[in-house]
Amino acid sequence: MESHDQPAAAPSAGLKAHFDDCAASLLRLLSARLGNRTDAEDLLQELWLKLATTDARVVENGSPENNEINNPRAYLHRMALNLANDLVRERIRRRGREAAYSDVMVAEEGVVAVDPGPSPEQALGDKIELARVREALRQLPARAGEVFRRHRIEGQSHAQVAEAMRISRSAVEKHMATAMKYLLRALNNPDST
Amino acid sequence: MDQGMSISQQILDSAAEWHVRLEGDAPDYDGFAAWLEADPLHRPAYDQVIALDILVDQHLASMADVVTLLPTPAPTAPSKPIAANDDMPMIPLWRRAGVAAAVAVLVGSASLLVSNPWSSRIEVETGRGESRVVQLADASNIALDGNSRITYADDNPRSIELAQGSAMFTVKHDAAHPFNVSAGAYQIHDLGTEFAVSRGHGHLTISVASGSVDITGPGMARLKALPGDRIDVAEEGGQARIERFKVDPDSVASWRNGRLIYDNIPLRLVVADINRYAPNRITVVPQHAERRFSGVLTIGDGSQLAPNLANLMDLPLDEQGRDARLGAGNMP
Repeated sequence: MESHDQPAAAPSAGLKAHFDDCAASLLRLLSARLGNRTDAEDLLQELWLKLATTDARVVENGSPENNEINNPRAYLHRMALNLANDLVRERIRRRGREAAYSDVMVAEEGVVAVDPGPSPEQALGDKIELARVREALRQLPARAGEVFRRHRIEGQSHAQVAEAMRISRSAVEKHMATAMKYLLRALNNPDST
Repeated sequence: MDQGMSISQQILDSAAEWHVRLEGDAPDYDGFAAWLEADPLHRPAYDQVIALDILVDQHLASMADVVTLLPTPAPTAPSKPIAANDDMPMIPLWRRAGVAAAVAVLVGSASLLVSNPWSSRIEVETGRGESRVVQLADASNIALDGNSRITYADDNPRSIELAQGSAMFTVKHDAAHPFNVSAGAYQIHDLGTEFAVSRGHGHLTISVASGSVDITGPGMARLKALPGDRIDVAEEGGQARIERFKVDPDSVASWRNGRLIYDNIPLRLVVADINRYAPNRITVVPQHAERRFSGVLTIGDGSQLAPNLANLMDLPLDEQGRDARLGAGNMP
């Protein structure tokens, strides 16, 4: 990893103070999520640097779109978890490819890293996973399917889904959890369909 | 995904519950950390939530296909006996897409007929290698890439048609007058933002730098794109293939600086982009189409894009007259 010695604007006193306050809890969350302390410390550093640019934007535009900034503690934890999930996402992608690729990675001049494409086996694996998830979607209870579509595919917030379907926020969460359970089971259990 | 051990349904269920709870009103991050620490299988179970996320992002259209078919019950009349429809047989995507496309065409021509006959359409076009910024009366502006064309009615500059090429829209939000971009059968509804749209060769890309946009079109549910989202729509044999990629919001419409910036984007999409600039027609052979490219390409006069990409990817480029095939032929 490159050293972060570029002059980053220091986060404003507000968020920075909160960052210091919950650094231990952030590190715990990151360590638990990633399963190791080194990655967690790297991401904590990245979060601090990100904060500098976020704060610059906050100063520029008044406030970020979400109101989570009004709860800095939750905001920081959300940011940390997003960073960790992005890292996991990247690793899953890479692992999926490497597992099936016989090609080697190509790196050029530091700026360019090229990943080999999926092999026919990998493409088939993807197809099977997709078919399983599609089948699970088909079997979802109707309301869970609608909540999943609105929230996950159309990008509506829980609040918007609740309003559109005239149901409570907790009902939205319940339906969404049902949908996720169906889909996760389908993805993990080859015999489920 | 092989994780070498099987995760019980019960653990997967609690991963699903945590995922949903963390998106809710009062997420309990300490509780989540404690749950992860409680069992070594909890972390890989939660990784599966992410794996599912990736899968859904890659196949938005085909997911929407399955779940949009259930008619949304009218919320005002919950007593209506519509439950029977829950078991409705699925209609294949191509049929629904066909119907939607037909409707879109009708609506499109109808709106032409009823629009103000005294208004005229303004057309702005750029040649290869040329770029232009169009300043609209409401302080919104449109940066037009080379070889691109937009048209709009002079009495309605907040409804733009991208006929060809690539444009970056910086839109001043006005709730009373939504800003819309149409690109073929697809509509991009702006919610006050900066976003880029590229169109050509049966392929559409929408990238969002800030704010958000809603995208609608045949065969797809309304799709919201947020900063850092790159949505690609490819027409393939009558079906739309819709994918979402993550990009650096700062790299959106990097052609304004004479560069194309990629991070982990399939070659078929990179090739679709460089075809807007290249003097010849570039294709990538199927066995390399899904390979990912990360890097920066300098546009210049467009003629070196394909050779440079081939070089960086360590692939041969077979140039025959006006056609160039990436991944075909022998290495030079």
